[in-house]
Amino acid sequence: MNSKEATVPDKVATSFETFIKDYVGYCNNRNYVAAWNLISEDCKKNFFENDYNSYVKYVQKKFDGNTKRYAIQDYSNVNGKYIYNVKIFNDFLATGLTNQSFVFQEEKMLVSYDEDKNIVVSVGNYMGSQDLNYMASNDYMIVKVTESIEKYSYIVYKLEFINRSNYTIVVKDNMTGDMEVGMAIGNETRATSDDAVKIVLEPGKSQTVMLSFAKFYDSNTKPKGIILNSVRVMENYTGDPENVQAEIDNAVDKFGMTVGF
Amino acid sequence: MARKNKKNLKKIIIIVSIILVILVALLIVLVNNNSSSGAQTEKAKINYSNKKEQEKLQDLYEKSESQRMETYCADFFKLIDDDNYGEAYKLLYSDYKENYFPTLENFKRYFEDYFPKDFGLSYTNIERLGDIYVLTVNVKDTVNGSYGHSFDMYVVIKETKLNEYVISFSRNSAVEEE
Repeated sequence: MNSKEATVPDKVATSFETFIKDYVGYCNNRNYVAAWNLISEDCKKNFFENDYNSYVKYVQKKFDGNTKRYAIQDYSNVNGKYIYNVKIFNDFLATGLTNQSFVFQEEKMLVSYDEDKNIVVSVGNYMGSQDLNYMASNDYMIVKVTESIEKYSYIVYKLEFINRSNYTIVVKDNMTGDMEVGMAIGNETRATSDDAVKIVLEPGKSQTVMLSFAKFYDSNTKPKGIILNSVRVMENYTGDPENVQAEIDNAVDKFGMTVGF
Repeated sequence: MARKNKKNLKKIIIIVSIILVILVALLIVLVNNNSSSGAQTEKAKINYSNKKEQEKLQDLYEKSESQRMETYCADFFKLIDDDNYGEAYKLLYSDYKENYFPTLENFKRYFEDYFPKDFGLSYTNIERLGDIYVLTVNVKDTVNGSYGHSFDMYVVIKETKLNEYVISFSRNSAVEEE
Protein backbone atom coordinates (compact mmCIF):
# COMPACT_ATOMS: atom_id res chain seq x y z
CA MET A 1 0.00 0.00 0.00
CA ASN A 2 1.12 3.57 0.49
CA SER A 3 4.82 2.82 0.71
CA LYS A 4 5.79 5.89 -1.25
CA GLU A 5 3.46 8.40 0.33
CA ALA A 6 5.25 9.17 3.50
CA THR A 7 8.70 7.76 3.93
CA VAL A 8 11.39 8.64 6.43
CA PRO A 9 12.69 12.21 6.24
CA ASP A 10 16.38 12.45 5.30
CA LYS A 11 17.44 13.97 8.62
CA VAL A 12 16.32 10.98 10.65
CA ALA A 13 16.74 8.33 7.95
CA THR A 14 20.42 7.68 8.56
CA SER A 15 20.23 7.18 12.30
CA PHE A 16 17.04 5.11 12.07
CA GLU A 17 18.37 2.92 9.29
CA THR A 18 21.62 2.36 11.14
CA PHE A 19 19.56 1.47 14.19
CA ILE A 20 17.43 -1.05 12.28
CA LYS A 21 20.54 -2.57 10.70
CA ASP A 22 22.11 -2.89 14.16
CA TYR A 23 18.98 -4.53 15.51
CA VAL A 24 18.68 -7.06 12.66
CA GLY A 25 22.43 -7.64 12.85
CA TYR A 26 22.19 -8.52 16.55
CA CYS A 27 19.39 -10.99 15.79
CA ASN A 28 21.37 -12.47 12.92
CA ASN A 29 24.46 -12.88 15.11
CA ARG A 30 22.39 -14.39 17.95
CA ASN A 31 23.21 -11.47 20.25
CA TYR A 32 19.72 -11.64 21.73
CA VAL A 33 20.41 -9.54 24.82
CA ALA A 34 21.63 -6.60 22.73
CA ALA A 35 18.62 -6.97 20.44
CA TRP A 36 16.17 -7.20 23.38
CA ASN A 37 17.59 -3.97 24.80
CA LEU A 38 16.49 -2.13 21.65
CA ILE A 39 12.86 -3.25 21.88
CA SER A 40 10.36 -0.63 23.05
CA GLU A 41 8.91 -1.07 26.53
CA ASP A 42 5.42 -1.15 25.02
CA CYS A 43 6.36 -4.00 22.66
CA LYS A 44 8.17 -5.89 25.43
CA LYS A 45 5.13 -5.62 27.66
CA ASN A 46 2.24 -6.13 25.24
CA PHE A 47 3.78 -8.33 22.56
CA PHE A 48 6.25 -10.42 24.55
CA GLU A 49 4.62 -10.07 28.00
CA ASN A 50 8.01 -8.94 29.35
CA ASP A 51 9.29 -12.46 28.77
CA TYR A 52 12.83 -12.44 27.38
CA ASN A 53 12.71 -16.19 26.64
CA SER A 54 9.57 -15.74 24.59
CA TYR A 55 11.39 -13.02 22.63
CA VAL A 56 14.39 -15.29 21.99
CA LYS A 57 12.09 -18.03 20.71
CA TYR A 58 10.42 -15.52 18.44
CA VAL A 59 13.74 -14.39 16.93
CA GLN A 60 15.06 -17.94 16.60
CA LYS A 61 11.94 -18.89 14.68
CA LYS A 62 12.41 -15.94 12.33
CA PHE A 63 16.09 -16.64 11.73
CA ASP A 64 15.78 -20.42 12.21
CA GLY A 65 19.23 -20.57 13.79
CA ASN A 66 21.05 -19.71 10.57
CA THR A 67 22.81 -16.57 9.47
CA LYS A 68 20.45 -14.79 7.11
CA ARG A 69 20.48 -12.06 4.55
CA TYR A 70 18.12 -9.17 5.10
CA ALA A 71 16.71 -6.20 3.27
CA ILE A 72 15.41 -3.08 5.00
CA GLN A 73 13.14 -0.60 3.25
CA ASP A 74 11.63 2.54 4.73
CA TYR A 75 7.90 2.30 4.28
CA SER A 76 5.84 5.08 5.83
CA ASN A 77 5.50 7.25 8.89
CA VAL A 78 2.72 8.01 11.32
CA ASN A 79 2.83 10.70 13.99
CA GLY A 80 6.60 10.73 14.33
CA LYS A 81 6.91 6.94 14.23
CA TYR A 82 8.62 5.33 11.28
CA ILE A 83 7.66 2.03 9.71
CA TYR A 84 10.24 -0.16 7.99
CA ASN A 85 9.57 -3.24 5.91
CA VAL A 86 12.14 -5.91 6.76
CA LYS A 87 12.65 -9.05 4.68
CA ILE A 88 14.76 -11.91 6.03
CA PHE A 89 15.92 -14.66 3.70
CA ASN A 90 18.57 -17.25 2.93
CA ASP A 91 21.58 -16.47 0.77
CA PHE A 92 19.72 -17.12 -2.47
CA LEU A 93 22.53 -15.79 -4.66
CA ALA A 94 24.91 -18.43 -3.29
CA THR A 95 22.49 -21.28 -3.97
CA GLY A 96 20.43 -20.02 -6.90
CA LEU A 97 17.53 -21.47 -4.87
CA THR A 98 18.71 -24.96 -5.81
CA ASN A 99 16.52 -27.50 -3.96
CA GLN A 100 14.81 -24.65 -2.11
CA SER A 101 11.40 -23.02 -2.13
CA PHE A 102 11.29 -19.31 -2.63
CA VAL A 103 10.14 -18.26 0.82
CA PHE A 104 11.23 -15.40 3.03
CA GLN A 105 10.16 -13.75 6.25
CA GLU A 106 8.66 -10.29 6.05
CA GLU A 107 7.51 -8.00 8.79
CA LYS A 108 6.95 -4.36 9.58
CA MET A 109 9.07 -2.79 12.31
CA LEU A 110 8.13 0.48 13.96
CA VAL A 111 10.97 2.78 15.01
CA SER A 112 10.40 5.71 17.32
CA TYR A 113 11.90 7.68 20.23
CA ASP A 114 11.03 6.67 23.76
CA GLU A 115 10.47 9.11 26.65
CA ASP A 116 14.23 9.43 27.17
CA LYS A 117 14.78 10.20 23.47
CA ASN A 118 16.38 6.82 22.84
CA ILE A 119 15.56 5.12 19.56
CA VAL A 120 13.50 1.97 20.14
CA VAL A 121 11.82 -0.59 17.89
CA SER A 122 8.61 -2.59 17.93
CA VAL A 123 8.84 -5.82 15.98
CA GLY A 124 6.59 -8.58 14.63
CA ASN A 125 4.21 -6.07 12.97
CA TYR A 126 3.30 -4.83 16.45
CA MET A 127 2.59 -1.11 16.24
CA GLY A 128 1.32 -0.27 19.72
CA SER A 129 -1.55 -0.46 22.15
CA GLN A 130 -3.79 2.01 23.89
CA ASP A 131 -6.07 1.99 26.93
CA LEU A 132 -9.55 3.09 25.93
CA ASN A 133 -12.61 4.07 27.88
CA TYR A 134 -15.63 3.89 25.63
CA MET A 135 -19.00 2.61 26.78
CA ALA A 136 -22.57 2.17 25.65
CA SER A 137 -25.49 0.75 27.61
CA ASN A 138 -29.23 0.16 27.68
CA ASP A 139 -31.60 -1.65 30.01
CA TYR A 140 -30.28 -5.03 28.97
CA MET A 141 -26.53 -4.71 28.85
CA ILE A 142 -23.39 -2.62 29.14
CA VAL A 143 -20.62 -2.73 26.51
CA LYS A 144 -17.16 -1.36 27.22
CA VAL A 145 -14.21 -0.99 24.87
CA THR A 146 -11.19 -0.91 27.13
CA GLU A 147 -8.12 -1.46 24.95
CA SER A 148 -6.90 -1.46 21.38
CA ILE A 149 -3.84 -3.33 20.12
CA GLU A 150 -2.59 -2.40 16.67
CA LYS A 151 -0.71 -4.71 14.35
CA TYR A 152 0.34 -3.31 10.99
CA SER A 153 -2.62 -4.65 9.01
CA TYR A 154 -5.32 -4.99 11.66
CA ILE A 155 -6.55 -3.65 14.99
CA VAL A 156 -7.75 -5.70 17.95
CA TYR A 157 -10.27 -4.33 20.43
CA LYS A 158 -10.86 -5.65 23.90
CA LEU A 159 -14.60 -5.60 24.58
CA GLU A 160 -16.37 -6.33 27.81
CA PHE A 161 -20.07 -7.24 27.73
CA ILE A 162 -22.15 -7.17 30.92
CA ASN A 163 -25.64 -8.65 30.94
CA ARG A 164 -27.76 -6.63 33.34
CA SER A 165 -30.99 -8.54 32.58
CA ASN A 166 -32.57 -11.83 33.54
CA TYR A 167 -32.49 -13.05 29.95
CA THR A 168 -29.88 -14.63 27.76
CA ILE A 169 -28.37 -12.01 25.47
CA VAL A 170 -26.90 -13.13 22.16
CA VAL A 171 -24.57 -10.61 20.52
CA LYS A 172 -22.74 -12.90 18.14
CA ASP A 173 -23.33 -16.56 17.42
CA ASN A 174 -22.76 -16.48 13.64
CA MET A 175 -26.24 -17.83 12.95
CA THR A 176 -28.17 -14.87 11.64
CA GLY A 177 -26.32 -14.56 8.35
CA ASP A 178 -25.81 -10.86 9.06
CA MET A 179 -22.71 -8.97 10.11
CA GLU A 180 -23.36 -9.24 13.84
CA VAL A 181 -20.38 -7.17 15.00
CA GLY A 182 -18.58 -4.58 12.88
CA MET A 183 -16.18 -1.68 13.09
CA ALA A 184 -17.37 1.64 11.65
CA ILE A 185 -14.53 3.26 9.72
CA GLY A 186 -14.85 6.00 7.12
CA ASN A 187 -18.06 5.32 5.25
CA GLU A 188 -18.06 1.59 5.74
CA THR A 189 -18.47 -1.09 8.35
CA ARG A 190 -15.92 -3.89 8.48
CA ALA A 191 -16.76 -7.30 9.89
CA THR A 192 -14.53 -8.85 12.50
CA SER A 193 -12.15 -11.49 11.23
CA ASP A 194 -12.64 -13.54 14.40
CA ASP A 195 -15.45 -15.66 13.04
CA ALA A 196 -15.17 -18.34 15.68
CA VAL A 197 -15.75 -15.99 18.62
CA LYS A 198 -19.26 -16.23 20.12
CA ILE A 199 -20.72 -13.66 22.47
CA VAL A 200 -23.60 -15.19 24.40
CA LEU A 201 -24.32 -13.75 27.84
CA GLU A 202 -26.15 -15.73 30.47
CA PRO A 203 -28.41 -13.68 32.79
CA GLY A 204 -26.31 -11.40 35.00
CA LYS A 205 -23.02 -12.64 33.54
CA SER A 206 -20.26 -10.82 31.69
CA GLN A 207 -17.88 -11.81 28.92
CA THR A 208 -14.66 -10.25 27.65
CA VAL A 209 -13.52 -10.86 24.08
CA MET A 210 -10.81 -9.69 21.73
CA LEU A 211 -12.06 -8.87 18.23
CA SER A 212 -9.87 -8.08 15.21
CA PHE A 213 -10.74 -5.82 12.30
CA ALA A 214 -8.82 -5.08 9.10
CA LYS A 215 -7.12 -1.69 9.27
CA PHE A 216 -3.68 -0.54 8.16
CA TYR A 217 -1.79 1.30 10.87
CA ASP A 218 -0.68 4.04 8.48
CA SER A 219 -4.14 4.56 7.02
CA ASN A 220 -5.53 8.05 7.51
CA THR A 221 -9.04 6.72 8.10
CA LYS A 222 -9.84 6.39 11.78
CA PRO A 223 -12.32 3.96 13.34
CA LYS A 224 -15.56 5.58 14.54
CA GLY A 225 -16.87 2.84 16.76
CA ILE A 226 -18.01 -0.74 17.25
CA ILE A 227 -21.42 -1.64 15.88
CA LEU A 228 -23.55 -4.48 17.25
CA ASN A 229 -26.09 -5.13 14.53
CA SER A 230 -28.34 -7.88 15.80
CA VAL A 231 -28.45 -8.26 19.56
CA ARG A 232 -31.14 -10.69 20.66
CA VAL A 233 -32.67 -10.85 24.13
CA MET A 234 -34.00 -14.36 24.67
CA GLU A 235 -35.89 -16.27 27.22
CA ASN A 236 -34.77 -19.58 25.74
CA TYR A 237 -31.59 -20.00 23.74
CA THR A 238 -30.25 -23.35 22.63
CA GLY A 239 -27.66 -22.36 20.02
CA ASP A 240 -28.99 -25.16 17.83
CA PRO A 241 -28.91 -24.08 14.16
CA GLU A 242 -32.22 -25.83 13.55
CA ASN A 243 -33.99 -23.63 16.11
CA VAL A 244 -32.41 -20.34 15.13
CA GLN A 245 -35.27 -18.72 13.29
CA ALA A 246 -37.89 -19.84 15.81
CA GLU A 247 -35.80 -18.53 18.69
CA ILE A 248 -35.21 -15.21 16.94
CA ASP A 249 -38.94 -14.90 16.23
CA ASN A 250 -39.70 -15.48 19.89
CA ALA A 251 -37.03 -13.10 21.20
CA VAL A 252 -38.05 -10.78 24.03
CA ASP A 253 -36.30 -7.92 22.24
CA LYS A 254 -33.98 -7.27 19.32
CA PHE A 255 -31.85 -4.20 18.90
CA GLY A 256 -28.67 -2.70 17.46
CA MET A 257 -26.13 -0.75 19.46
CA THR A 258 -23.07 1.38 18.73
CA VAL A 259 -20.11 2.08 20.98
CA GLY A 260 -18.88 5.36 19.51
CA PHE A 261 -15.24 6.49 19.70
CA MET B 1 80.39 13.22 -81.84
CA ALA B 2 81.76 11.85 -78.58
CA ARG B 3 80.86 15.10 -76.90
CA LYS B 4 77.28 14.86 -78.22
CA ASN B 5 76.93 11.25 -76.93
CA LYS B 6 78.18 12.30 -73.52
CA LYS B 7 75.59 15.08 -73.43
CA ASN B 8 72.78 12.63 -74.32
CA LEU B 9 73.87 10.19 -71.61
CA LYS B 10 73.79 12.99 -69.06
CA LYS B 11 70.24 13.87 -70.13
CA ILE B 12 69.15 10.23 -69.81
CA ILE B 13 70.66 9.95 -66.32
CA ILE B 14 68.85 13.11 -65.23
CA ILE B 15 65.53 11.88 -66.64
CA VAL B 16 65.89 8.43 -65.02
CA SER B 17 66.82 10.08 -61.72
CA ILE B 18 63.74 12.30 -61.88
CA ILE B 19 61.54 9.29 -62.66
CA LEU B 20 63.07 7.38 -59.74
CA VAL B 21 62.47 10.27 -57.37
CA ILE B 22 58.86 10.50 -58.52
CA LEU B 23 58.37 6.74 -58.08
CA VAL B 24 59.86 6.80 -54.56
CA ALA B 25 57.62 9.75 -53.67
CA LEU B 26 54.56 7.92 -55.01
CA LEU B 27 55.53 4.81 -53.05
CA ILE B 28 55.87 6.83 -49.85
CA VAL B 29 52.49 8.44 -50.40
CA LEU B 30 50.88 5.06 -51.07
CA VAL B 31 52.43 3.45 -48.00
CA ASN B 32 51.37 6.36 -45.83
CA ASN B 33 47.87 6.24 -47.19
CA ASN B 34 47.59 2.54 -46.51
CA SER B 35 48.76 2.75 -42.89
CA SER B 36 46.49 5.72 -42.19
CA SER B 37 43.48 3.88 -43.61
CA GLY B 38 44.18 0.85 -41.31
CA ALA B 39 44.34 3.07 -38.26
CA GLN B 40 41.15 4.76 -39.29
CA THR B 41 39.44 1.38 -39.67
CA GLU B 42 40.60 0.38 -36.19
CA LYS B 43 39.42 3.67 -34.80
CA ALA B 44 36.09 3.29 -36.54
CA LYS B 45 35.75 -0.19 -35.07
CA ILE B 46 36.43 1.09 -31.54
CA ASN B 47 34.00 3.95 -32.03
CA TYR B 48 31.37 1.53 -33.26
CA SER B 49 31.92 -0.75 -30.27
CA ASN B 50 31.78 2.23 -27.86
CA LYS B 51 28.66 3.46 -29.56
CA LYS B 52 26.98 0.07 -29.21
CA GLU B 53 27.99 -0.09 -25.56
CA GLN B 54 26.69 3.43 -24.98
CA GLU B 55 23.42 2.55 -26.65
CA LYS B 56 23.12 -0.57 -24.51
CA LEU B 57 23.79 1.44 -21.34
CA GLN B 58 21.31 4.10 -22.38
CA ASP B 59 18.75 1.41 -23.15
CA LEU B 60 19.28 -0.21 -19.73
CA TYR B 61 19.18 3.18 -18.01
CA GLU B 62 15.75 3.84 -19.47
CA LYS B 63 14.38 0.46 -18.42
CA SER B 64 12.58 -0.35 -15.18
CA GLU B 65 14.28 -2.58 -12.61
CA SER B 66 12.34 -5.63 -13.69
CA GLN B 67 13.00 -4.97 -17.39
CA ARG B 68 16.74 -4.66 -16.65
CA MET B 69 16.74 -7.98 -14.81
CA GLU B 70 14.92 -9.64 -17.69
CA THR B 71 17.52 -8.20 -20.05
CA TYR B 72 20.42 -9.52 -17.94
CA CYS B 73 18.76 -12.93 -17.72
CA ALA B 74 18.13 -13.00 -21.48
CA ASP B 75 21.74 -11.90 -22.17
CA PHE B 76 23.06 -14.69 -19.96
CA PHE B 77 21.02 -17.38 -21.67
CA LYS B 78 21.82 -15.91 -25.10
CA LEU B 79 25.47 -16.66 -24.34
CA ILE B 80 24.47 -20.25 -23.54
CA ASP B 81 22.41 -20.45 -26.70
CA ASP B 82 25.38 -19.16 -28.70
CA ASP B 83 27.61 -21.84 -27.11
CA ASN B 84 29.60 -19.04 -25.50
CA TYR B 85 29.85 -20.94 -22.22
CA GLY B 86 33.08 -19.28 -21.15
CA GLU B 87 31.55 -15.79 -21.09
CA ALA B 88 28.40 -17.06 -19.36
CA TYR B 89 30.50 -18.92 -16.78
CA LYS B 90 32.31 -15.68 -15.90
CA LEU B 91 28.95 -14.16 -14.86
CA LEU B 92 28.26 -16.78 -12.18
CA TYR B 93 28.39 -15.61 -8.56
CA SER B 94 31.64 -16.92 -7.08
CA ASP B 95 30.20 -18.90 -4.11
CA TYR B 96 27.56 -20.41 -6.36
CA LYS B 97 30.13 -21.32 -8.99
CA GLU B 98 32.29 -22.99 -6.36
CA ASN B 99 29.39 -25.01 -4.94
CA TYR B 100 27.54 -26.06 -8.06
CA PHE B 101 29.82 -25.69 -11.10
CA PRO B 102 33.45 -25.90 -10.02
CA THR B 103 34.63 -26.19 -13.63
CA LEU B 104 33.58 -24.74 -16.94
CA GLU B 105 33.22 -28.32 -18.19
CA ASN B 106 30.59 -29.05 -15.44
CA PHE B 107 28.75 -25.94 -16.47
CA LYS B 108 28.79 -26.73 -20.17
CA ARG B 109 27.73 -30.34 -19.64
CA TYR B 110 24.80 -29.30 -17.43
CA PHE B 111 23.30 -27.21 -20.22
CA GLU B 112 24.03 -29.84 -22.85
CA ASP B 113 22.34 -32.54 -20.74
CA TYR B 114 19.47 -30.63 -19.20
CA PHE B 115 18.45 -27.75 -21.44
CA PRO B 116 16.52 -28.12 -24.68
CA LYS B 117 18.63 -27.51 -27.77
CA ASP B 118 16.48 -24.53 -28.70
CA PHE B 119 14.66 -22.74 -25.95
CA GLY B 120 12.71 -19.59 -25.17
CA LEU B 121 12.29 -17.86 -21.82
CA SER B 122 9.26 -16.25 -20.23
CA TYR B 123 9.20 -14.49 -16.88
CA THR B 124 6.40 -15.27 -14.45
CA ASN B 125 7.54 -13.33 -11.38
CA ILE B 126 10.26 -10.95 -10.24
CA GLU B 127 10.82 -10.18 -6.57
CA ARG B 128 13.38 -7.76 -5.19
CA LEU B 129 15.06 -8.63 -1.91
CA GLY B 130 17.45 -5.80 -1.04
CA ASP B 131 20.18 -5.88 -3.65
CA ILE B 132 19.19 -9.16 -5.28
CA TYR B 133 16.35 -10.04 -7.61
CA VAL B 134 14.71 -13.46 -7.82
CA LEU B 135 13.14 -14.24 -11.18
CA THR B 136 10.82 -17.16 -11.79
CA VAL B 137 11.53 -18.19 -15.35
CA ASN B 138 9.80 -20.68 -17.61
CA VAL B 139 12.11 -22.42 -20.08
CA LYS B 140 10.26 -23.69 -23.12
CA ASP B 141 11.47 -26.14 -25.75
CA THR B 142 10.78 -24.08 -28.85
CA VAL B 143 11.23 -26.91 -31.33
CA ASN B 144 9.30 -29.73 -29.70
CA GLY B 145 6.69 -27.60 -27.91
CA SER B 146 4.60 -29.51 -25.41
CA TYR B 147 6.41 -32.76 -26.29
CA GLY B 148 9.76 -31.25 -25.43
CA HIS B 149 11.47 -30.54 -22.14
CA SER B 150 10.01 -27.37 -20.65
CA PHE B 151 10.36 -26.41 -16.99
CA ASP B 152 10.41 -23.58 -14.43
CA MET B 153 13.53 -22.38 -12.70
CA TYR B 154 14.70 -19.57 -10.44
CA VAL B 155 17.32 -17.09 -11.57
CA VAL B 156 18.95 -14.86 -8.97
CA ILE B 157 20.69 -11.67 -10.09
CA LYS B 158 22.72 -9.06 -8.23
CA GLU B 159 23.36 -5.91 -10.24
CA THR B 160 26.64 -4.27 -9.25
CA LYS B 161 26.28 -1.41 -11.74
CA LEU B 162 24.55 -0.82 -15.03
CA ASN B 163 25.22 -3.81 -17.31
CA GLU B 164 27.41 -5.44 -14.65
CA TYR B 165 25.93 -8.25 -12.61
CA VAL B 166 26.44 -11.70 -11.13
CA ILE B 167 23.97 -14.50 -11.52
CA SER B 168 22.97 -17.89 -10.15
CA PHE B 169 20.08 -20.22 -10.92
CA SER B 170 18.34 -23.24 -9.46
CA ARG B 171 20.35 -26.21 -10.59
CA ASN B 172 18.30 -29.33 -11.10
CA SER B 173 19.96 -31.72 -8.68
CA ALA B 174 18.63 -34.72 -10.60
CA VAL B 175 21.19 -33.90 -13.26
CA GLU B 176 24.39 -35.66 -12.34
CA GLU B 177 27.35 -33.58 -11.23
CA GLU B 178 30.47 -34.74 -13.00
